[in-house]
Amino acid sequence: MLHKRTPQKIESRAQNFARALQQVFGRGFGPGFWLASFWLFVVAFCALFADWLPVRDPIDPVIANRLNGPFTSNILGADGLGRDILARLVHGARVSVVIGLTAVSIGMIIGGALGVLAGYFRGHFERALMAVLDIILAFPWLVLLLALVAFIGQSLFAISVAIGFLWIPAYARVARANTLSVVQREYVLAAKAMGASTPRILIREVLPNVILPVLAYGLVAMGLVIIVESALAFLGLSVEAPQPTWGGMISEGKRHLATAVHVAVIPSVTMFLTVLSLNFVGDRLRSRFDVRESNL
Amino acid sequence: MRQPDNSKAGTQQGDGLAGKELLRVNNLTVRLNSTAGLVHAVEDVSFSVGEGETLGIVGESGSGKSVMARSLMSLLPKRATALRQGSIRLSGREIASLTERELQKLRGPAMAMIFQDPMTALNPVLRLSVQLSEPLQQHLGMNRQQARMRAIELLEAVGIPDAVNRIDQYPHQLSGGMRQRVVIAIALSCNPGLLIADEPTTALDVTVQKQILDLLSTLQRERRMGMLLITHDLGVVASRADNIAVMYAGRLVEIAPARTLFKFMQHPYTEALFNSIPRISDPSHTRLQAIPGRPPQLVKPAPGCAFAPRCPYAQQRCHRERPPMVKADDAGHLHACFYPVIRPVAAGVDPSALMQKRSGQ
Repeated sequence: MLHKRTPQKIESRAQNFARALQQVFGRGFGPGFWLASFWLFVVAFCALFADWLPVRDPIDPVIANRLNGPFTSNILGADGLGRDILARLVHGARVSVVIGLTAVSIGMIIGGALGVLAGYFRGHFERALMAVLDIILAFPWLVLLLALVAFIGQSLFAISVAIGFLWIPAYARVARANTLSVVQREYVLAAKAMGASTPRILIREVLPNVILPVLAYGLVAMGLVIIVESALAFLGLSVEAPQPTWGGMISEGKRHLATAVHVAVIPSVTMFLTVLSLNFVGDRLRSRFDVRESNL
Repeated sequence: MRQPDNSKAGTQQGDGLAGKELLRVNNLTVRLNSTAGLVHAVEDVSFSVGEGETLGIVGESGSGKSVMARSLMSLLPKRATALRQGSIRLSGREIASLTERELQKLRGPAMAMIFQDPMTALNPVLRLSVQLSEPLQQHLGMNRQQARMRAIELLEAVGIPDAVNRIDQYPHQLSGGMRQRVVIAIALSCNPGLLIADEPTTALDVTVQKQILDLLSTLQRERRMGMLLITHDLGVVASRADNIAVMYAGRLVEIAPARTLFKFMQHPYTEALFNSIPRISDPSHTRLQAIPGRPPQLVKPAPGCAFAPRCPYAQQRCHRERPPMVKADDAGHLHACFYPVIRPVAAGVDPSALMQKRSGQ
């Protein structure tokens, strides 16, 4: 323990908890990390409680407010149909967060499992899998995504699945690379020398060591997923209207770029901040959990 | 090695405990695939270990000690193993012919292994309790609570203070010596008949080395385990092994009861290893005696004796022919040299007899 406790001072439960948090997160992350985390917290909060937050109806057009600037009767202005931009941002966060979480989970679980198996068993299975993944990676991702969306539809879930599929190769590679380095460690051999079976080694020895770098990579991936989703929305192929999405808002805003810049700029900045924060936090966490950088 | 004459074994470190034959290895040969070619890692190695006996295996780095140890437990990766020949019998059961599932049942309760580096032999993300109780639950059918109690006992048995609290810690919270104790505790958890210790103290501070070796000896005596003590340090096995096998370039070059080996060493390589141990009685500023040259590569072994290029006594014949293992006496002392060394012999032995034996070769 870094701090010396003075014997007279008896710490309350809350203080104890605070110090535990301090020990886990408090060392060397810096204020940037906390600012970014705070922003992500705000976005997540909006996504969760959008229906109960005191904002206007995101799909109710009020023609009188059409293209209102910021700081008028609409705090962040209104769009071309007179819908409140703040309300649409708050509700749009839901789409970004849901797609981000679902797509990354799909990629992480399927790709991660394939990668761990490939890294552990090697041989023909690994070669075949990596060949397939290389083929998927060699495809232009937008073309592949459009094909998938055309095939499985435009619901929130379908879009999540389509984007998640795109992430399988990347995750498989991260998981495989980490597995390769873990499998060579002596503790895996030691477990084997104590009679551990293959499933046991995979679950007990390999997985706990691979899961942290894979999870930490998840936040960075989520940032990219949000951009991919907005690219789809920009082409009008994401979740169907009237459900607001950030990408869709930027797309609509481009019509008014000459007259009302804020309609496109405000959702762009929101998305920019969110993706930046995800990258920032994700990168910090990754370097903390990375086998090479943390000397674990 | 099992002594043909049990009265002689009684004079060894094992205090006459040496009993039934536990492990018998016959003509073990292991070849591995590598990018450079086929590596002749272990060639034609034979030895045996009795219950409660310690066999020390000594040799330089790269002489095939670890590969041999791993092949005894069938732990070598299948893809890399080009060939594994010979027989390994553990309590009469042929190991080489067992399936992976049968091997899994043997690893732990029948044989266990201690690894060189305690820093990497423990999983950094699992608590000690998990790593210790896992094999107990698997092999001995204990439930979690029983396994936890047993794990605490094990930690106490290997001399870890405050085991009740230590058990919930992670490996990084322990020092190197403590970690090696934990590794030993895990290896001993299922009461193995045979313990393979692969350089158990090489990665530790000198101050801790002796403690760990003493601990191993004590536990081995208590549990009457057979032990294979692998090291590159002749000094480590000198007082702890019943028998010593010297390995060079994948082959055994000399094997003998420990005391016999030190008194009557025959192979020039054994002598060179012995001379390279620094002695406290040497005058200060004595140069350490190193063995000139390097151990040979094992990809395409040259014909003849592998040690010949570094051997001060080598003759023409040594470079052409490979010396076979021959008996030096009838008490289990074997060596593989055409021109064995003669050491000044201890009292009670007639040196001329040894001289005659040499000229007889």
